[in-house]
Amino acid sequence: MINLQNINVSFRKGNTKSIFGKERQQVLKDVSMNVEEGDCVGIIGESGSGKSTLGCVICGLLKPDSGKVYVKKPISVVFQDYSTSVDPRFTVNDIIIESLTVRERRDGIKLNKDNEVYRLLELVGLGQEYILRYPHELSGGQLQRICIARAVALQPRIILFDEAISSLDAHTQVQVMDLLRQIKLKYSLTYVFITHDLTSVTYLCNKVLFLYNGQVVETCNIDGLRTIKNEYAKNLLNSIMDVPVK
Amino acid sequence: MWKKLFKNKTALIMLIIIFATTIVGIFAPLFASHDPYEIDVMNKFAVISLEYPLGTDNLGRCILSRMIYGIRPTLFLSLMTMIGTISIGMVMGLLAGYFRGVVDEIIMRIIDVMLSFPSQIMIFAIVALLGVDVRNVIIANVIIKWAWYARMVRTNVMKYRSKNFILFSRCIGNRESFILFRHLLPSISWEMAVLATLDIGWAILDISTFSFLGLGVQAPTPEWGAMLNEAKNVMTTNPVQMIAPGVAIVTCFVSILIS
Repeated sequence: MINLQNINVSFRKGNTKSIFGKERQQVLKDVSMNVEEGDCVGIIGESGSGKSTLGCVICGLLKPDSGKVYVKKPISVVFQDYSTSVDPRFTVNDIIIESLTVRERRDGIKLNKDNEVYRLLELVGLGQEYILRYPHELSGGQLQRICIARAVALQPRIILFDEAISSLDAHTQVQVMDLLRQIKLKYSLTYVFITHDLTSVTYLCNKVLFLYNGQVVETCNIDGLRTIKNEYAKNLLNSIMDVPVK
Repeated sequence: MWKKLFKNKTALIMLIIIFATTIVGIFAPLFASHDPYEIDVMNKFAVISLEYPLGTDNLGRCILSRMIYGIRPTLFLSLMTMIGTISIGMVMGLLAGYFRGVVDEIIMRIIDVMLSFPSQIMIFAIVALLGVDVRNVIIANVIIKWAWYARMVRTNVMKYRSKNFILFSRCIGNRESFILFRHLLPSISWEMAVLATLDIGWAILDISTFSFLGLGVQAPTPEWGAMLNEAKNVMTTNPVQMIAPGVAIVTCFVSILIS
């Protein structure tokens, strides 16, 4: 589903003295990863490790300097900041219809959009009364559910979650994670879960990829978390888990 | 919004002035007591009376009637200038801010060149090239001013293009036209509307200035700037002829700026 080979991404340094300066900061260094159909891969790393940049490369929002990117389309995305994830001038109906319109064009079909919107709202646990509401009339959890409904409306093969539950409260996080699990099973989706929260990864993912300083330092199955070799990954796990990693 | 407006008395008064001026201008034949072109040399420099509330000018034409008819070209031409300026500025700014890269570089270099010239001098130069006509004054104004708007629009577009709802649209493969016209344009339109309303005042002033200098609206068409031009020779003997359009221009300009 996703195959990245030797991805390198760099950005021009903001504090370059000369206006013609070419000094660049390497954000991703030789990153390779493979995601199979039906996988749920968690990408973990501290702030600034290049997680979101890798997400942008997977989504096609950023072209790498070098390396090969293969991503089976269609792909959808759910972002961390739900408040900027939706157009504030759009109603819930408009937000979901945007994805449905893209799907119609892609598949060359005509959808009954009203029914689809109702069905999707029901899927994410929201009623029909939300259909004409604007984003500012919804809570964080509700808005993130709308974002999930919008992502699913596209009928994607892959959904990328970029810190999608980090900004929600603990109770809502659990609800949303349960919802994501149900949706994954229902539509046989492939998930890429970018986060710095290992608990959500252990709950949802079957594979984990540790990113440190723009490099993949460890890749393992969720069952093999306690046998990882890399020091950084070990320290990260030790700081989160109750039982120390040997 | 209305509550806020009604609380702000100054803004409300200024808006009423603008609205009333526009209505009087649109329905000028209903409000004007005389034909603005009707010359009556025997009646020149008539003093203020019931028949001529602001007296008559050096050709015996009713000053108030000319003032009322003068609203039309003043407002219409400034609106035309603003529509032209905003349209070009919006398109160029959207293209530069959204597509970035080479498109942005080319448009921004053109904008840099446009902004490096003193605007009034450039307008004179363009009017001199194209010929003395009010249409050419509008064209010159648009050519000079679009760059300001393009730069503003570009800055706003750059602010919004990295918002997640735009990134989502791009990620799912939505059309560029949808992103530009359904997401970006409405996002920046409020800020542009504020800028445009402020600039309408300047456009009025510009049109009047060029008409005063004899480069814009030509006699005998009633226009406030052109009326000032005609009145300058009789400024000392018949000051009302100059004060009336002068006060009108200032009032209109200030009302638009304050509201």
